[in-house]
Amino acid sequence: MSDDNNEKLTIDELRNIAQLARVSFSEEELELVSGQLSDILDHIAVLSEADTDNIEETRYITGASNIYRRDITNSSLSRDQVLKNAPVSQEGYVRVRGVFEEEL
Amino acid sequence: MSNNFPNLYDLTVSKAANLLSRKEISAIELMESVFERIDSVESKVKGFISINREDALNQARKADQDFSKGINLPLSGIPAVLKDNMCLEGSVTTAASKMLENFVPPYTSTAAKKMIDDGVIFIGKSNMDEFAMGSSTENSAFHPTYNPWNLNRVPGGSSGGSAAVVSAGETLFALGSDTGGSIRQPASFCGVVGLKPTYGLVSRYGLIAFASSLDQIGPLTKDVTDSALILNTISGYDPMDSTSLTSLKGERIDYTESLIPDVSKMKIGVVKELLGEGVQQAVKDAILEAARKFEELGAQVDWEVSLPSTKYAMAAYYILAPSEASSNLSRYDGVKYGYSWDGDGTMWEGMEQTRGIGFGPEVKRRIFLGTYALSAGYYDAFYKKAQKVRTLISSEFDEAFKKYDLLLSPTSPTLPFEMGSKTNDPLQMYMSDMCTIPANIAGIPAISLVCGFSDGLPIGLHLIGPSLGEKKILQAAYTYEQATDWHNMRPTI
Repeated sequence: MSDDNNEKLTIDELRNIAQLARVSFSEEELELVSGQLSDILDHIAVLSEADTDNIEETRYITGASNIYRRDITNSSLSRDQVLKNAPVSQEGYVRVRGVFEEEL
Repeated sequence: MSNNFPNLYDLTVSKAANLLSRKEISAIELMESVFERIDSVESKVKGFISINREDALNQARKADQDFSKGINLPLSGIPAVLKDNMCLEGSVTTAASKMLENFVPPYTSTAAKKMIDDGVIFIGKSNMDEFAMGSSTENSAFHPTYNPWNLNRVPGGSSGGSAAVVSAGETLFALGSDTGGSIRQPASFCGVVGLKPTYGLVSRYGLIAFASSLDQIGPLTKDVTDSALILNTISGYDPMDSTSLTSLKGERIDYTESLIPDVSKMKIGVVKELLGEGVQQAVKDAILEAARKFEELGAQVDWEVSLPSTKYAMAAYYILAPSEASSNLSRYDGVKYGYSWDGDGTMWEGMEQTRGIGFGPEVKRRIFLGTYALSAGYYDAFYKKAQKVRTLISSEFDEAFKKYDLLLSPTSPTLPFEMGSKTNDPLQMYMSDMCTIPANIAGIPAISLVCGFSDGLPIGLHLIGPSLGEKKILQAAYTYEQATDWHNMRPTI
């Protein structure tokens, strides 16, 4: 967190975040949300007052450690069941948009 | 057992189960009464996203056949509602999002499966804030839900549909989920009992993830007895949830054992920080009155317990929950399931358009906030700091529970607010969960039950217990309920 009392999230920063999160946006949306998020970040800045020197961060609230099971195959959903919710499927596969640009 | 209510739909689960097993009523009579009620009030309350009427009536007939054959499960023929973020095989499960508008899950969540195995009949799925993000149910992508006590007010959220349909008599009980107060705050607003169990007590398998280290499923019921009964069914170890408590393996706990009207050996602490700034006077008065009631009933009450780090709880929560959400919701990419933008464009454009159109404003806000908090250069200052504060808050609760059996506060700092009054100010909306968030942060159980009314609107009393202290919570809540009459109040719709 910065030393400023006001945590401002600029529109350019937000544009970058929206791109990282892969969410399309309109300019009006960005403007509204950057103001709202700045208010929220202002509130969150109170955390810097908490004295957390020598405090370990919580990893699992229940203190759980790794859970293992035997490596035995179990039954799972059938291909048809899984594909039922796919937006586009073809010959037993999920059909996706091209991943690579055509270069040939 | 006497029946205080002329209408079957008004029955509690325990009374209905009793009447059913003694064949004083039939499952189909009970189910028809519930649907008559739905027909008369649902157009005003709008607590449901989907209703499975034919299926529910058929299952009720089947339950009656089973009764006549002497087959009697603990909750046979009891109508129930599932929050629409819990998967039910073959039933559309939307999380109140356009993203999942047509999603039909291929499997059933463990909590719902356990209810079905005990005889419960799910009549429908309830409305909620999209992906459980919100405190008023106004963030549903489909329609808002209205508070049965006053249709101009919000029912709370995010399990606002579940709380409203229980309060309105459109079901005997409902399941909800609670990440920062999403069972307890709507329970408070709608005048019902809402229990958030200890993290790991109820399996999250099949619950559409919001913030996995905080999410927990629990019951919304008409009284404390029903809360214990439903917890009996849904609690327990589940190998399908890696955060399910392994200490519960092979255990079957009977929470109804704690329904004893006695608090004489209990020490209860009133949390100073949760009764201060931002708490409405009417709420404060009712909470202090409830604490006095506990004293009168023989409990030892300490009127000023301080948990100083709880003042950081909301800030920590609004880093942790959005961070986890931004990661959990990355799965909605328009490829495997859910909404998919079908315009012309590259893979990236497809993903961005899908998410930009499929998610509503609050969900996007939280994805942005979480992405920001986790992004390079900010991780230590935000996420790591919040996880340290989480440790501070947990240790303060641990210390407090060495001295007190339970802690007491309001569930919500305010009465149910007016529809639309906070939709443009997310920070104000977030404040609605200031009293409930600390229990999620610490993973400990807490309950909300009615302790009074102001302007005809219910006020919720919040009892927080130590990890796996559900029995203490239920015993104190039951004792209070037996000594008061609030739980017998029903809204006029």
